Amino acid sequence: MSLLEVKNLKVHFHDAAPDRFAVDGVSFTMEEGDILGLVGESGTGKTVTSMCIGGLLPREKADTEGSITLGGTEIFDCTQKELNRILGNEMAIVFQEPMTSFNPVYRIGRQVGESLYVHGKGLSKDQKKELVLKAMQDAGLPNAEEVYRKYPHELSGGMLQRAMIAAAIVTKPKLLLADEITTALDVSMQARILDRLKRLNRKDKVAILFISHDLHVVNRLCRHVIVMQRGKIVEKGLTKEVFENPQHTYTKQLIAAIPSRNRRSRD
Amino acid sequence: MKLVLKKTASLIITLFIVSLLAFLAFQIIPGDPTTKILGTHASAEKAARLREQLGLDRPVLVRYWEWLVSFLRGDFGTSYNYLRPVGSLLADKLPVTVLLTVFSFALTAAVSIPLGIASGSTRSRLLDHLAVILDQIVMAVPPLFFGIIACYVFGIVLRWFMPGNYISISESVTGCMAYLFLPALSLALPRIAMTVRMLRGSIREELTKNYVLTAQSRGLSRGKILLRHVFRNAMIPVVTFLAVSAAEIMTGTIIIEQVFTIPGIGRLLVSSIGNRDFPVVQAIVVLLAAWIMIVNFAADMLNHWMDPRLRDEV
Repeated sequence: MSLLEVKNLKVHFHDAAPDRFAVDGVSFTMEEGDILGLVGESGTGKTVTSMCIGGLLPREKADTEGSITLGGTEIFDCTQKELNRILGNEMAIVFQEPMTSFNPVYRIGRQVGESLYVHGKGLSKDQKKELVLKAMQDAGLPNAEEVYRKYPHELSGGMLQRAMIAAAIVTKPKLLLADEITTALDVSMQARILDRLKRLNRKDKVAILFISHDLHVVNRLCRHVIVMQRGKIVEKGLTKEVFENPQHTYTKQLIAAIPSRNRRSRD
Repeated sequence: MKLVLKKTASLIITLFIVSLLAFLAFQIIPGDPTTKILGTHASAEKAARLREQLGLDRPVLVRYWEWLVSFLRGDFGTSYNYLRPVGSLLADKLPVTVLLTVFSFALTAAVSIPLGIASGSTRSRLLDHLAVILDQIVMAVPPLFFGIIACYVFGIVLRWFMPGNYISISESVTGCMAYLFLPALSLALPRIAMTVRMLRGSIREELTKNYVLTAQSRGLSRGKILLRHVFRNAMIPVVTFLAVSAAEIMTGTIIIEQVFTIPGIGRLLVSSIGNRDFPVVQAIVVLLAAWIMIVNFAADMLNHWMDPRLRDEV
């Protein structure tokens, strides 16, 4: 059984035109320990796909069709309670904006450890703190003890995003959804975070669905890639092969849009 | 700590300015305390002698200075009208007003916060619309009007209490609270409506923020998200608003005490202004100003405690 199976996923927002699907028949699978890249320009349904997998798409705003199973559990059939048992536990999500994804009035430590508060019943306070500090170190945060006591506004975007990753991996989830997590960061910070994700993937076998519009980043991290355009998958395969020999015109255009220095290094 | 010092300094300076302005105001408004004391038929010499006795013949700033020095020593002067020390007059009346204010404010906070949370977090459109309409109506009713209606309905028609027959707290605690309930409610109602509306808006806004999505992605239930994450953020603007309310409730007692015949400083203030009883008015004005500043100060401190982002700006 695959870790994640998405079958013929369709999403239609109530305020959209009747024939306009945000996600239109998307299917793919991920095995344990996979890193899958999901690329495409803005508005192609990448984020909507990940929101569906995370069960976070408000049901009153959109109709969904198809099936998403995580370790055999059908996400669409889950009650909110069942979903809450999976979220932050077996599946964790990191979002694009580290600055606003934290609650401004609480310390980092409390927020990084929140999934333990929800799912880590039976752990003592000290054990929880130890796990939080460990996750912070694994996410590449220097002096975790200090960061633990800081407030979000006292940290840089790069620090916050690593703290977000720490918050996501603190419960050792099987699947990590990373939605444009390096987009708001500068290039050197991007490189450090990608490096951390690779290590986490190797060490803890956490599968990563990495969503990005940046092919360059996807190429550095992901073994497999899916290219989406207007809610549909237009190309999928090993990242290397897709880059070297793109079949679809849209993929070719996307690759052509990468700044030249990167492209030359790849050729 | 630095903040406390800064705020205390500004509190003192503001009180000083307010007291000076109040003092000067009485030089400008027409009317003379001597005519109030001696009657309109008193001879000019007699009036002049009284003016001298009261010290009214000397320059304003000199009198202000003297008033200030004795005020700081705890001597609030002597009432022209009652011929009693202002301090002892206020000692009788102030506790009543403070009790009414605290009661009314407690009512405001205790009712509006749960209602605000409920109306801010409900998913039912119908309930939300109803809440908004009810809110609008309650907000539009002035305490004075509600007070008069309440007096009529509960006092005269239903005879649940006797308007004018104030029961002091030393006589009966429950009796006093029962008597103060309607005036406290009249003052609180529009405040409750405004606070509910504000908290509702504040919660709605906070619910759209990204950190809520983050909390959802960690498997927190909606109730937990509201209590653990949204509430504290949503309360930050509301705390400031409640402080303003506390100040306005205190000043609102001036009118509501007339309606319900409550022997607080409100009635004393109105009669003293009529009698040109400067020392009394002056003392009350300074006390009211002090109250307004103290509740704002308290709100600032509470906000600093609630919002770590403010702490760095000191």
